[in-house]
Amino acid sequence: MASTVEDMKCDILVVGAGPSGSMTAKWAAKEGADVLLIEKRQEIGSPVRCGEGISKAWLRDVGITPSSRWINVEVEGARIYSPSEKVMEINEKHAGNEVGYVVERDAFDKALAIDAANAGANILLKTHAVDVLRENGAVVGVKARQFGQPFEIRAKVVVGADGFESQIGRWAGIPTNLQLRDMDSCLQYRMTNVDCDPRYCDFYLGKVAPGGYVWVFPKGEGIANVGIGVQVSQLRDPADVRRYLDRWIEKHPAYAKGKKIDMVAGGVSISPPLKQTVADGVMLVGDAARMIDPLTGGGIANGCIAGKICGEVAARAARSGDTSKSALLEYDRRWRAVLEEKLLRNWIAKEKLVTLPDEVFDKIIDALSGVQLEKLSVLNILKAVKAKYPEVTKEFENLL
Amino acid sequence: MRVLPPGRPRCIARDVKVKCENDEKEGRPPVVRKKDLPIYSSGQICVSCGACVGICPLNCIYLDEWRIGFDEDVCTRCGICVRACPVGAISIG
Repeated sequence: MASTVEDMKCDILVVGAGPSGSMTAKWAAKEGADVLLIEKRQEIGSPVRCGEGISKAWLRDVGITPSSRWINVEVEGARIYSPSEKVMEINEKHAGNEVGYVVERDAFDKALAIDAANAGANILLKTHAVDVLRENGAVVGVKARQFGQPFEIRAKVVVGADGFESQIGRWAGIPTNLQLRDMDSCLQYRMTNVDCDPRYCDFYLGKVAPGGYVWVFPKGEGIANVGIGVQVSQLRDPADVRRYLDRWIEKHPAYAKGKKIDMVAGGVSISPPLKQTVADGVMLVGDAARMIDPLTGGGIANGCIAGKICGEVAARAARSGDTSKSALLEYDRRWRAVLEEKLLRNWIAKEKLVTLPDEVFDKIIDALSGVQLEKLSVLNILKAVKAKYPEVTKEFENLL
Repeated sequence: MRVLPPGRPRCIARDVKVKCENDEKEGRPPVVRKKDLPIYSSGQICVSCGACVGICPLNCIYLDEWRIGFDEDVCTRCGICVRACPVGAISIG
């Protein structure tokens, strides 16, 4: 007979032990809150569902120390390939820390969870939320299951860090639905025996990946993550994503000779910032809050930056006794101050880029390939393109 | 457990209705889209990535450990999950 699980109580309940959840848990625990971090899977960080490329400038700001336990490769730069495979190089010296590391996500996620645990957070595995608990309209906890056994967790604040497929926000009545044009469906193979340059992360644009791109991120020792993201609004038949990726690999002998040792898939939001990320007793962070950058598809940095703010605000709200939406809006204000403008600007850029035919991509990359950009910014890119192909930048006037 | 999110069920239903009317106008055989068509995710193809769960406008897909399931009472067979699945595990009909 299975043993029952006792109901639990805490100050802050964080649902999901990915980077955003662990970051929230760590910083809430550092503020002295009683934190419980629950993870539906049996292992934190696995299976990996990520391209595993991150920039490095933000790591220190959220208290992450780079470690060889989760860094595979420190890249020097990025190469962006046009449809006809003209290439534009972004070197670290010019990109100002925009490029960074290729990491081992399972080790990285565990390291962040260890930081949260060391700060005082408690962790439960194989424990998933099945609904929120409500009192007078406010969320006061969750109904959960551990190893199939139902029980309740009462919390002053529930943080939804439950990823792309997040349910916490939906159960709490926060609109998180995505338009089909605001989602990329992604597939990636980790391949060994490939010829890739370990100094660069490579990005391939154009019709090879409609509304997204093909990426090659070196993992070292002839191993690379080779993946694709395709805009869902441009998908027609089932398994199109797999067909796009397989066709691209076939056409690139350096990768066609590779052998697959891992395969991951997932959904990535490429949406404008959510209008609402808090409700009475609830906060959303990370992929669950649609914080992924709509241009790059990168979500770890934004999720962690917001996670630190979320943990701090949640802990202080719990201590003060006011966990209403208006009290939690301080998180909303603070994360928007740091992230919202870039997210919105990058979404506008993405909405324009997904409409471009291959010839225009070729022109843009061609205009940029000879140029040393002093600073990587949308403005500098547009200026460089305008110099050589002014007709192209006419369409981007509102971004200038 | 499955709560209708503040989404767009009316738009989905309207799209389905318009499609049925166009089928009729252009002489295509009528296909009953709602509920009568089975919706199925192949356990052999599915990789439990959660993309379908995240995109479903009616929030009627759930990811239970390593399988996905559909809430038959809510699903209108809009087909968004079929399109979004990166490995083509879901089929309708």
